[in-house]
Amino acid sequence: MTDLLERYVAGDPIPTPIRRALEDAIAADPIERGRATEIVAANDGAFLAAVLDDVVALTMAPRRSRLERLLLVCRMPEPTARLVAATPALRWAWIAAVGVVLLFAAGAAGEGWRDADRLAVLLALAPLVPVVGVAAAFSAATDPTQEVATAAAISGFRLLMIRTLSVLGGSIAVTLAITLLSRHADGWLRVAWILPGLATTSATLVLATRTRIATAAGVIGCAWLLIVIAISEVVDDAVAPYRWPGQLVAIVVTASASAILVGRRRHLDRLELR
Amino acid sequence: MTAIARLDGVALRLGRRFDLAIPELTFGPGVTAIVGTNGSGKTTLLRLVATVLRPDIGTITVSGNDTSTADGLVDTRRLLGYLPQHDTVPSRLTVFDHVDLVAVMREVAHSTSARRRAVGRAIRAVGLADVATERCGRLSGGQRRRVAIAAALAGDPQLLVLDEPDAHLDDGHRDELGRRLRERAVTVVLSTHDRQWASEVADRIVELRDGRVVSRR
Repeated sequence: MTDLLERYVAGDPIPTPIRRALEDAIAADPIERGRATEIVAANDGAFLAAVLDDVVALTMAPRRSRLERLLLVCRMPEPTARLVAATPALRWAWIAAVGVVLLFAAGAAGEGWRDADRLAVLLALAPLVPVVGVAAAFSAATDPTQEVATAAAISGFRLLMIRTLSVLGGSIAVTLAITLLSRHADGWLRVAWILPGLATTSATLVLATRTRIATAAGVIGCAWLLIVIAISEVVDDAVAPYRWPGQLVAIVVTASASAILVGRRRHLDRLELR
Repeated sequence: MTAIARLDGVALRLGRRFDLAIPELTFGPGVTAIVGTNGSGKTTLLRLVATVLRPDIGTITVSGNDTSTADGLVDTRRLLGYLPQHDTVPSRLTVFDHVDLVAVMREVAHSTSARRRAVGRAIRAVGLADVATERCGRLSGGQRRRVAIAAALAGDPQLLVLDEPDAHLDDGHRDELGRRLRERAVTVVLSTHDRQWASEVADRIVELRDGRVVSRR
């Protein structure tokens, strides 16, 4: 091990797997760390300083979280995995999304409701979950790093997409689990909120290119509820907005909004505080 | 190479009562301290230089990059390390993870190992190596401030914009910070309420009052 350490410190070529194993050993073991520091102290030069930086960085870096390790196993690029796993706002966004799900699940489970009405409430509120999550992911209240992120070189569009897809994935998984477990939902209508959910989220992002994301989420959320209530009243069918014509409209809205978003990506790159 | 930030005919109105007007101001290599009373416009000026606010009129260029254009903005942000006035350090993350997260957003270095090395150097530079694996929520106010400073320093940016970096620091750490900033051969723009510290650290001092530059030394 000491021989390997000396070769490492001297900058000799070492096969990558062995070098990684050595670095892991240095990071994990105080005795090996002490030996590495001694060898570095006994030598001199810029290369050694860089090696010391490597060693110190390794000893400082805590073990990656389970989520980050899972994302890396799934071949997600390391910087993206770090952004998804460490961004504080995403944690709150997920909590907000799950909170909304639990709230309406509890509401719809109340006594005195007809099954069709319970299903209608579930389907009306489920597409708002990712909208709430996305709004929370970009709120200064949940993300203390927002101002630093604004001044950073990373593309605003990329940051928006990473956070949105993270929230969307998480909230859809949770909502899907609750919907599928619900004894009130029936057949394919159990998942009939997914396309409307994509439509409301993409519409929120498009509107966010013109106004604050919280305002955009509020406007789209209210508009969505007004539309489904109006359709249900007109045709006297509580789940009418979720049948195939409604699904078709949701696909068209999602596709159009996505095209507009891509077209405005230069605008989204310019994140600002106001 | 160091960055030179230049404001020309810049004006910005925030609300009905406050407006900032800077006919001309240049920040060159070395340390420039912005001083002034509460509400004089120090933070607004630094936010303009840090590109988180856009002026209503006028232009801001950094090393020749016009920040009003998309390409100029991105090129400017690549040169920039920014410390906001308020606490930007999340409690849940460890010191290393927070500085590393900011380094990812700032696109510091082209490889993971080079980025983590830069993060390690920045944490050592502010004297927090021994608490690098601690959660930020367990640190004191001064230590949290130094974590945020490390996030701005990582990757050795050419332009450092630091809004009250001395806040919450004790005398020893404030002197150490001043010494390290002076050692860096880059452009540093900082604000402070401490005129004594400003005179010790800065090569130039700009005083603001009611959104106007009233003196330059």
